[in-house]
Amino acid sequence: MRIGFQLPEEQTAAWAAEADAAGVFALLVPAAGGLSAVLAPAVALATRDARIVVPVALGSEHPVTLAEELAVLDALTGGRLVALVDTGDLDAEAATEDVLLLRRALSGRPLRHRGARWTVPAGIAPDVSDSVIVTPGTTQLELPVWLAGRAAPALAEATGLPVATTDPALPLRQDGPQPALAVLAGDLAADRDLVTAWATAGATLLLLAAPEGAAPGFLRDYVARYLIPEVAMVDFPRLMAETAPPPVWPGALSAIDE
Amino acid sequence: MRFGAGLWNLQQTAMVPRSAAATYRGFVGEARRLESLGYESLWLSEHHFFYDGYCPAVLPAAAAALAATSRLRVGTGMLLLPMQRPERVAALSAQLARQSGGRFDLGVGLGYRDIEFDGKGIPRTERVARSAAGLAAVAEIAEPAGVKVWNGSATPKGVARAGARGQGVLLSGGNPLSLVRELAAAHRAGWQEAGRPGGSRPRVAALRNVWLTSDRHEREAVLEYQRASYVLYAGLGWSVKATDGTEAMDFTADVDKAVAAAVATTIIGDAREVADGLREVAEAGVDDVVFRVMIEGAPVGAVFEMLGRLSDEVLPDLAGVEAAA
Repeated sequence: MRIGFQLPEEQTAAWAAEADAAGVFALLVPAAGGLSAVLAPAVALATRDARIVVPVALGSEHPVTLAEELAVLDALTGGRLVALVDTGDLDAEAATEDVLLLRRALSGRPLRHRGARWTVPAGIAPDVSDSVIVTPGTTQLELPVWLAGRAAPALAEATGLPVATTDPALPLRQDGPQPALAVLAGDLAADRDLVTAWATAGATLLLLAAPEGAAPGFLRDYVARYLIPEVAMVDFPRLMAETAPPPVWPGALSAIDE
Repeated sequence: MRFGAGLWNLQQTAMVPRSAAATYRGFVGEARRLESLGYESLWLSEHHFFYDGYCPAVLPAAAAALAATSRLRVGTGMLLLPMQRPERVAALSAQLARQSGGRFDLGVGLGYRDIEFDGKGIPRTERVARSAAGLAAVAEIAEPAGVKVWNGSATPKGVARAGARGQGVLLSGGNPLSLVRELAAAHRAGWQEAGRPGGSRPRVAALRNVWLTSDRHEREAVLEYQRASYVLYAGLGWSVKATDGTEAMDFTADVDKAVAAAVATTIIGDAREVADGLREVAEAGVDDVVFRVMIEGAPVGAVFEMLGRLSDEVLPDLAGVEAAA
């Protein structure tokens, strides 16, 4: 199982830079009341390798507009973007139409949609094309779309997309990506149990939130040292993480050439 | 007089092919370079469903440029307000102002391409009403957070309405100086007739085609690149309506004539010629100039080299120049 991190709203870019340097696999941009589209670019600039998971609030905009935003963010992140689509106040039927339209818009195909909620193109103006292509296309071959929110389970059934879950007791998908979210306690034994339980249940990416009072250095000294290795092999020999680290190199050189 | 540069359309075109990722990576670097040369502002622009990836979402792009810089102002020239949810645009803009220390300029325009309205399911006939609703949300949510609002319009009525709201205007680079003069006067009159809202006169900014060079070959190349860049407007179907003092510029009806008229607006020459040209722009009633230098195909290195010389050799002399009343 991969380990990711839920970025806090304060000092977001500084946390992101620290996480990226420590090899944290994915970063969840704060939803911040629907403002993630303008928070994600600073996270992109502060990182090079981490996947950037951006919350998208269905119902907040036309799905074609949301798709355009995601395409721009995918380019800005160099193809590292994941969309975490929250169904918000929409019921399953409405959310299904919006997600289908969003994904079609991101597919690069000529888009023509006739649904209960949306008609694209609307056919209002005379003499315009009967379909549109959303540009730019995604930087990735296909933009990963994960689901969250009240209507997510029903939507997952209709679309086959993964649901980001917070409950390890629910049945998890055993094929394809299975994202999950959890909060760390700050107690090593408890946190090792937490990540192991998720890995055993079949999660493929666990996005962890920091315990209260943690500083960015905790990503290297705690998450990367103890928790990422814990779930990277079965029966991780904890000695590897618990032994005293080697002394600091004279001149305090980093172990890795940046 | 203050100086910025634009427009960043973030395209990948038939003549200048590249990936979208390279385009946005380049853009972030260009924002840093523009700031390091001492320019005040960078301006983006928006379109939809165009083959070249023309930026359809300017707020995330602005967020990237703001995150990459610490003094540069970043503006949208223009965000097409009728095509988007007003409260969301306002909330995202307010967040941009908060996270950048008030460096975000929200320029809003109506949009003009039928297919763009149609693709979003919006009758074009509703664009003025939708824009008004959008501006109300912006006034309530974005302006109190420190967002500065600019309006894009090429009609005396439109700019007068902006003046009456106490908001600035950013005029198109294709507008001949005669139209710029007319619009600047209408903006000023609109502000005065509305009782001078805000107390100090809102600014008139204008995109202008400017290039500093004494080299004949470079001059020819620049004008040729500009010609090519205006062919884009023919592709998009842009036009400028005729007014009392200015002929129409219709890129759909007569491409060659319209392109020639747009290219003829160019201020090009040595330091003295460019300074004189910019003084003439100030005399037309313009407070701030946005250099239209991100023209398709012009090598970015050449653009920034020129911007550096312009900043060193010409702009210091214009620091005290003010728009004519």
